[in-house]
Amino acid sequence: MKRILIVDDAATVRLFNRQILEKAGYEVDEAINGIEALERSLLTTYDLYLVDVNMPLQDGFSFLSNLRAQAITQAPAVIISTEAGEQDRLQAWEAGANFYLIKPVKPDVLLQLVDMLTGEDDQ
Amino acid sequence: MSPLLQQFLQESREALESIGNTLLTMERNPGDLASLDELFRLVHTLKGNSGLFDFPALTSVLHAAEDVMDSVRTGALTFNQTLADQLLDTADYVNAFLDEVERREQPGDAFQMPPQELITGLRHWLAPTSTPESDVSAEDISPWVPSLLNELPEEVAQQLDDALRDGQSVYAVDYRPASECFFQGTDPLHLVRQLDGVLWRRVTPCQPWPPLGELDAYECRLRFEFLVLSSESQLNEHFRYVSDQVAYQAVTSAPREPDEKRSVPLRTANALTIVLTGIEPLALDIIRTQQAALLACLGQPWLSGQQAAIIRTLRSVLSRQASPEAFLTLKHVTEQAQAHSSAEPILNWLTEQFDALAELKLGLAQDKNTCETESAALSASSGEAQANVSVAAPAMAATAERPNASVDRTATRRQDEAVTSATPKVLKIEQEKIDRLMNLIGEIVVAKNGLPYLAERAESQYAQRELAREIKAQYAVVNRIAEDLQDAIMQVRMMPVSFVLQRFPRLVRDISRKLGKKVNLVLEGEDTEADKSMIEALADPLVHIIRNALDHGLELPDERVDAGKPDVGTLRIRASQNADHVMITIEDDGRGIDPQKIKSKVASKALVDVASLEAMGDQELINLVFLPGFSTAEQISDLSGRGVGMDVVRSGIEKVGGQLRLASQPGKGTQLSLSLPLSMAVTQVMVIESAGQRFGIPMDQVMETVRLPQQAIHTIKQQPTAQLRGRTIPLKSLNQLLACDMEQLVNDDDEYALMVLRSRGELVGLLIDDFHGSNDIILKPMVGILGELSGYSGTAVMGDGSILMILNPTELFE
Repeated sequence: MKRILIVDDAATVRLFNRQILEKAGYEVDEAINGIEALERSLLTTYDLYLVDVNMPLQDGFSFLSNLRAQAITQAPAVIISTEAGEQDRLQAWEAGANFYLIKPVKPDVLLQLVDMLTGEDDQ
Repeated sequence: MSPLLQQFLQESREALESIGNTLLTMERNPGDLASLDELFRLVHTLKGNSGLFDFPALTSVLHAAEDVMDSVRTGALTFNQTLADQLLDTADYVNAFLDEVERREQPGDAFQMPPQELITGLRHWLAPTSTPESDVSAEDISPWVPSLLNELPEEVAQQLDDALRDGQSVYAVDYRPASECFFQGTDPLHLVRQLDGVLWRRVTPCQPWPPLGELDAYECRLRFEFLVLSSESQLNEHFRYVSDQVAYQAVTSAPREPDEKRSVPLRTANALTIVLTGIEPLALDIIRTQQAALLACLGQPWLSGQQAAIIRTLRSVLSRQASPEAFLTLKHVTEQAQAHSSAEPILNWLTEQFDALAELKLGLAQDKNTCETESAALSASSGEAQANVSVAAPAMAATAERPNASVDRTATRRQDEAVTSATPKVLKIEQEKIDRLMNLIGEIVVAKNGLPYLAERAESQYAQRELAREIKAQYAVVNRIAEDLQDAIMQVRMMPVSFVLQRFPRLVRDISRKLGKKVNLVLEGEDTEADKSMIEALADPLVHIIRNALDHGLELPDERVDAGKPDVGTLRIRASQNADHVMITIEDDGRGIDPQKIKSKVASKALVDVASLEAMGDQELINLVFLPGFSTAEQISDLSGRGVGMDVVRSGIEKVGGQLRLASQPGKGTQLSLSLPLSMAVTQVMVIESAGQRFGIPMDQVMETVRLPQQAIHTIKQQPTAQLRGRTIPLKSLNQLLACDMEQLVNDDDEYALMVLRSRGELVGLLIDDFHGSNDIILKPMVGILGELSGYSGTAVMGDGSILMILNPTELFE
């Protein structure tokens, strides 16, 4: 089963996404900030990350930078943000994100995206 | 209620609480950047969460608040008092909204429409000179639709024709976003993109573009036109926030007959695209994103964490597409990259791919353009400048970019660096679960109390002395564990008093402002802990006490100055722990309570007969404010004159086993002390006997137990009294109070058993038959018909299975 880590400080958003993903048969873990997400990533291998930007303690960009700098995982990471600006996207790419979604995310878009990003990877 | 909604409510309440506190901190210290960021984050989270539900009114209010906070955070707006008031009003609205949702699971009619006044109030900070300039009048539309239809590309015209023939409703929409829309939190492109069933769309500038030097990138100058398979109500719903900027009209007839000449090249080109790409739009989007991401990390060493993730993402997406060629090429290109130890080949390949795609599209667009020019010439419609959607969209995105984006990020980073400590691990548990645990522990406590009885029976009935001793030893062990267990669960339920106190700064501020009084609120001992239920029970009485203090206690600034006091009054709320009690003192330095004023008030209302009134001392007179139906306010204000008096406060406190004492010095101030048990769960009672029955009396009311010789009782004014340690104490017989027609028993030395109890600050002696020591019990309040019974606070099951009635002396003495 594919395992996904939701990183968001808003419990409601986590629950919302978790319900959608679990219903579609994914295994879901949650982290409330970048620090916790990094800790979890060291312990568990995830197939995909859904990362909020604005979080206390450590934001999504810093988290992704750390995750990529330490080459902890190759799993794709999606930034989910409310900002639609080009500058924000650029920052996301620099941090190591692989996709950028703008809140609120529609369930069908999320599922389609998750499906594509967790495709079979026969190395 | 769904777990998601529950989660939303809980999180939102917490956020609101924090918002209130942060706003107050900011009021004291408007330049506090950390608070600003925190405030923005809280509002932002609230708004984000509300977007997951269908609460348009809530979302639009929060959106406005978020924008305002964003402006404050970036320095475009200075935080001030009025703004704080408005934000607090917003918080109140949100709270009311949440209440509504909690009650009915969905907002009722009153909460359907966004509170325009509130939103306008907030928005007013953002765009001081905004004027809606996008009125689309009917005259504009009528000729607009036919001309639009004539401009449709062939395949769209075909689709439209098909849709109309199928009886689907099609609307032509003209959306001209307000020029300042980016500052109102509207993202027109996003809004348009989110609309389902769009057949065709076009983005054009409203007016010709000004020279680059004069162009304001943050001003929206675009016009969106599109055809959509939708109903009017759906459109109303979709554009509910920008209804004034949108016009739509039903399309009833298809455009002119398809033109042979035009249709041929287009159809071919279209078919070609599908064959070549064969990839879902979203997948294409992802791949394009990897190109951008790769560009951002090209300088890194080959196969860095970031590059590896990009390759993995590409592979993942392509493996999901029915495009084995693309997947194989990627593999090939990756091998090349590996050989060169550089990601460049991959980037080059992607760039090639997209260039080819763009070329294809461009060719397509050119075809369209020629056709459109022809059709324009044919239909002689306006020669207004047009831009294809694909060209206009990036421009839009660039325009939509917030002016403050870079500032935001540095602020966030700074915050990150400042806070490096790890989050404390906190487990949230529903109160129900704790309550259940608490009840179970209560049962253990009661069950273990059965062991001593068992030991006694073993000894007396079965003459098993040794066994009795062992049972007692075992009892000691069980007893210790039970006590530890009880203690541990108490700790879980303990929470700091600040839980209720933290809302008072806001309350005091609001009330004092309304009354025109100046108040300095001092909170002390907020860390003092007490049982959660106790703290919750405290909230309402405290609010009332504070209202009273502000309304009746503290004087207006002028009055204070005249009385030789500083114009700012002080209201001090102090919490402390005293043995197994929590003491809360509310103290003001106001005008105090005038006993004579009380006296005349009570007399005029005839609440107490004149004779007893005359006999009362000052303290007794002051205590009369607790009489039901008493109110000293000469004028009923909308603050404390709400029909609830201090009697309600007192009964509220007493209901949870607390006590209340009022002290006042005229001209100097008033002090109200509340004393509450740390926990309501386990009560210690003194077991007594009277008229052949056993009763329990709460230990915290028992001052002392004495044996009183019969001759020490003197009758003063028909009231039996006794002198005890130099004080005259009125005596009551429990049998009489319970209406048992029996004399109290005396012991062999002709002495009565007397309990001295504290009731409402006064000492009263209760004559009983005998004492039986103290006991821990779980007090169960009486329910149903018995619940009406006064004089009892409840019942408890004793270790031997018998039921003990717990008396409420205060009610008995009334």
